[in-house]
Formats: sequence, structure tokens, C-alpha cells
Amino acid sequence: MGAQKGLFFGVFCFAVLALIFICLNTDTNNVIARYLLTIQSVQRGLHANLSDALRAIQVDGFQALIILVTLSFVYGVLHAAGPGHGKVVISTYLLSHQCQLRRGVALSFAAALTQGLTAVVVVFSVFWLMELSMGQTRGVVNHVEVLSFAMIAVVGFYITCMHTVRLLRKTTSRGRSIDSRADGSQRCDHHHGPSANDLEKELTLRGFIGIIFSIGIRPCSGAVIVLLLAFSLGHVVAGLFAVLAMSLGTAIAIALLATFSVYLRRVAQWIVQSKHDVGYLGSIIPAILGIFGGGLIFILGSSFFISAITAPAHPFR
Amino acid sequence: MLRVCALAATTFFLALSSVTSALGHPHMWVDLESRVVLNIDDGSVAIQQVWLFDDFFSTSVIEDSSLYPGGTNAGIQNEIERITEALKPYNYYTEIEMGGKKLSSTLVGDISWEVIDNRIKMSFTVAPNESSVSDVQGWSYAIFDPTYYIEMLHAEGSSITIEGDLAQKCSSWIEQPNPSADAVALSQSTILDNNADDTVGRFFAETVHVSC
Repeated sequence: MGAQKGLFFGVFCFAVLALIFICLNTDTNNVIARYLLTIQSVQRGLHANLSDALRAIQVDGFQALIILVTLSFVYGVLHAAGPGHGKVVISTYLLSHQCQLRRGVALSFAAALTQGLTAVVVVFSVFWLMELSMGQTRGVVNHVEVLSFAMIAVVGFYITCMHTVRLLRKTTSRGRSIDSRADGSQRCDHHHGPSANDLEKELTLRGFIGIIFSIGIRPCSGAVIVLLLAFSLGHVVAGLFAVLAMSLGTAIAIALLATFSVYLRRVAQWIVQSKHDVGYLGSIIPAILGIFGGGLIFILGSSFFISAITAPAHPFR
Repeated sequence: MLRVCALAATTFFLALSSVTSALGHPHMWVDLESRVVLNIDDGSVAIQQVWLFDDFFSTSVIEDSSLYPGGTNAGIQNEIERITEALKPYNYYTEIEMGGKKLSSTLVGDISWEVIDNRIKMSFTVAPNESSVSDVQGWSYAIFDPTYYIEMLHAEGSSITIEGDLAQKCSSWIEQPNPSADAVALSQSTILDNNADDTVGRFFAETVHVSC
């Protein structure tokens, strides 16, 4: 166990150093920019291939469907490897809550699949039920996206408030008794009093749903375009398979990040626990992380929202 | 060992998303072709452009046009006119830089279009205002959507042809997008600045340099 902890500690230090290095070093900034450009150019090629595969279904049938699904999967992985709010939401949640690895991975999959489902529901209801044209559907999807930015901001605000309450409760209870630190528990989500414990359980379930909701509400833009073309060409089933493959690809990439967040939290916890003031520091750090993460999500969501509603009409939207 | 590998990979993802979460990503793709026309007689400079829209966008325009009262062709024509009118305040997404000055540009002649393999191809010519060939020896232009909703690039390995009297004396090359450290830092700050979205596109744009 000691060796494993040592290894974790090493990786943690590496991660922190890498982050500092990336933020300060201009050459690495260029590397990141290049990485982004590479993703972008592969994505560009994938989009062209996706539409070709969709059109080929008419001629090649099953073979083209296999190609379409494979391309969609790769697209999903790549899409998640780029920037996005979902990754900030998930890593914030997992860093600030004690969570089993299995649950973190399940959360990633649920969020990514919900995102695909949202795209299907939006496109299906607008394109088919309301019988709007492809161009009009694109317009509605743009509105849904703006709405989702607002929802993301709300979720960020909620997370910040929850953690502020948690932090305040912890800091005030510290002043009252020293017993609370000496009770032997070293868990980060340790609570003082049964009522708070019950509350936290409820919050965890609510938190889970909140996370899935806040990520899932924004329909995956790639899924929307593929679905629209698929529906318009009459390949409904192929479109649904493509979206499923895309969501699975995204889920795998996000699950990787979730794994990292869970481990990073464990290392941080282990470092804190090796100090003397175990219970107190251990209990406020997750709350502080939560406040920062929630704040970041709020800023992301609200700035996207504000820029979306204040931006002049785009010539192509 | 597997865990260490997973950690290393995800460190990169986390660092990446923290640095770049403010960047948008394109929803539309345009393949560009451009040609420069330089005439010594009247000192005119013009850039002929061909925009080949992606399949998804083209299909949606063609499908919507089929509902147009005058028929599909009239519908596409109508949409092309709407787009070019809307592009006017944005200088047709063409940024021309001469002598360290950014020039606005105007449309020269007509806009034509055709549909090739389900994709709409639009051709037109723009010219910079208040400029002439005699003014500058080296100048550049870039064609891009400032908001990066559309990614606009020349086909890989393509070159820019120069036409007109000065064709023999001038040369051109395409500078690939290379977001500098400053650019990345600025795009990070888009979190705080509401309208800075308009700066993102430039970082991912190609620059065509012309020297005579």
C-alpha cells in the first residue's frame, strides 16, 4: 500500500508541475494550440466522411452503415478530447465529492448518453413532429443551445451555494467542539449529526441527476448535424446508430477524465491525512474545490449565454 | 502501470480543458479557393474566391429551397443573396492587410453559384477599398469567420495563383494557422470578455502573403 501511495503522490506532483509548466511556458501553449488544430482538422475530415458514409448507405447498405458507426465513434472520442463544459462539470463534482471509481465512470456514461438522447429528442420532435425543414430545425437547435448555457450557469451557481453552505457548516462546527476532529473518521464527506448526513445522501442523488442534466441538456452538435442529414435522407435507423456510437465514444473519453479525478482526489486526501489536523482540513478542502469548480461552471455557462444573446446575428445561422 | 498511463493521459486532458475551455469549435466547414488579380494599369487589387460549403449545410439550404415558391434554384439564389448581404458588414470574411493597415473590402461584380455533389459552391470577387498595387510591396489577406462558427481553409497543399499584369513579378504563400502563446492567452480571456468571441476565428485562420 505504501508503494502505491508513493506512486500516487509522484503522479500527483507530476500533474501539478505539468499544469504549472503548461500555464507558464509559451512553447507548451503552442503545443496545445497545435494539438487543438490537429483535432480540428481530423474533425473536419471526419465530417466529410460522415456525410459520404450516410449517402453511401443507399448504395452499399450494411457496409456503409458499419463505416458510419465506426466514424461516429471516433468522432465522439475526438469531440470529447477537445474543450467542453462537461469535462469541467464532471471533474469538479468528482474532485469535491467522495466517489467510487465505478460511480464516476457510470456518471460519465450516463451524461454522454443523455447528451446523445437530447440530440435525438430535439431533432426528432422538431424535424418530424413539428415538421419543420432542416434549416428551421438548425435554428431551433441553436436556441436550445443558448437555453442550455443558461441551465449550465444555474447548475454552477447551485454547486457553489451547496459547497458554501457545507464549508460554513464545517467551519462553525469546528469552533464548537474539538471532539468532532477526534472522532476517528477521516472521510471527506464526514458529517456532524445525523440530520446533515441524511441531507447529504439526498444531495448526492440530486447532485448525480443535476450533473447528468447539466451536461445532457446541451445536445451534441455533431450528433445534431448527422441526425438531420440522416433524417432528411430517410436513414433514420442509421442516424440513431451513429448517435449511439458517438455518445459511447464521448463517454469513454469522459470516463478517462473521471478516473483521473477520482484518483487525484484520493491522492490529495492521502496527503492531507498525513498531516496532523486530519478531520478539519480534510473536510473543508472538498468544499473549497466545489466552490471554485461551481464558480468556474457558472462563469463558463453565463459567459456563453451572454455572448450568445448579445452577439449580432451570424450570417449563416 | 495501467493506472499511471491512464493518469498521464487524463492529466493532459484536464490541463487541456482548463486551458482551452473558452475556445469554440466550428459547426460548419468551407473549402476555399482563392486567386489574386493584380493590375498595374489601374493599380487594382482583387481577390477571387470560391467557397465550397459542406454537405450538411448545403443539404439544409437545398432542402429549404425546395419549399420556396419559385422553385429550388430560385430558393438557393435567394439564400445566397441573403448570405452575401449579411456578410457585407463583415467584409465578406476577408481581412486584407496592407502596410500594417487593415482595409475594408467591397464586392466586385456578380456572385455565382452551382451545386456539385450535393455541395453548394459560391464564387465572387472582393477588392480592398482605398488601395493600389503601387502602395505596397508585401501584403496579406485572410479569409475566416471571426466567431469560428465556420472553419474556412484552402485545400491542403493548394497554392494561390496570381493573375494580371504583375503575375510574373509577384509570388504568394499560405501561412498555416499557428496560434501563438499570446493568442492562446487571449482566447483564455474570452471567459471574461463577452465579445471577445470575435477574436477566436483569427487564430485558426490561414494567412495568404503576397509579395511583389
